[in-house]
Amino acid sequence: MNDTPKLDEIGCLEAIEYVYAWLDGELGDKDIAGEVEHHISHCKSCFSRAEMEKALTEHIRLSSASAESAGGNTAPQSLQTRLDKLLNKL
Amino acid sequence: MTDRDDIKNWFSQMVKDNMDALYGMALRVTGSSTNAEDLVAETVIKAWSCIDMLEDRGLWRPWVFRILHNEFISSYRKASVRPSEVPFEEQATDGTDSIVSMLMDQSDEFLNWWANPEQEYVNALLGEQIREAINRLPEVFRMTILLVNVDGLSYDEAAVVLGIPSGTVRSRMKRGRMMLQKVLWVQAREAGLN
Repeated sequence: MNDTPKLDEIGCLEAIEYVYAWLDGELGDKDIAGEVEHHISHCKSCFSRAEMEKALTEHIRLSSASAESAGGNTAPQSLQTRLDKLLNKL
Repeated sequence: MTDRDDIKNWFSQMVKDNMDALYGMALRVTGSSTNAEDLVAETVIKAWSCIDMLEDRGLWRPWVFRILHNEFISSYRKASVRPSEVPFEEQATDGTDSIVSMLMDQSDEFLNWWANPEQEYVNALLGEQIREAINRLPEVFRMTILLVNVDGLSYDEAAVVLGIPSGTVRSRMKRGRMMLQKVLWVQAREAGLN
């Protein structure tokens, strides 16, 4: 295993290019994922950006969960009744 | 029990299991509880009418979400209470989508803030502020972010829902999230938090 730092192999702009897919677990190319991970672990600026994005993603999920717990995204009884009738007619 | 009964029972159970998710998505795209209920009901009717086209039951979720999305596009978009979509030219999706040009368009102040994120500000953000920021995004980005980050769909599943290539989902996620950061930064400035 070559532990030579790869910081010069992928720059900040390239890291940003891939960081969103990497954070979403959608970077299929393991080599690129490894380089992004390596860059982020060695670049303070990109590490901060990645942490910021992680936090924001979590807040987006929490804001949705909060709305759901407040009843905002829960199907109302009227819809449940309507769908029950629809499904019974299938 | 016939095969049709089996399909009917399975379909009914899937509708019930996904009712909140369908309503949540419908509410987000229509912005109206009344329209959201109508959209879900019409989606269920449409889905049952073409249930034979669903070859893999494992793809139920992106399949039914796509039907909901298509029903919204065809029936509700014009009547939506949301503000009209800001004209927007989507970037090329062949990998040349220029992140550089977007960064070039952003002010130095924003870049400095972005490079040194104020974690305390993010932590202090209220859910309502984040929802407001997402609502201010152009529709193509808002939909993609909601499907991936809220509904938890993979890029491939979101691509099925939106009827676009996975690469376009990736591109929209990147640009949408960058735009979201910019909107949040503007909100931070307006709130005097930066």
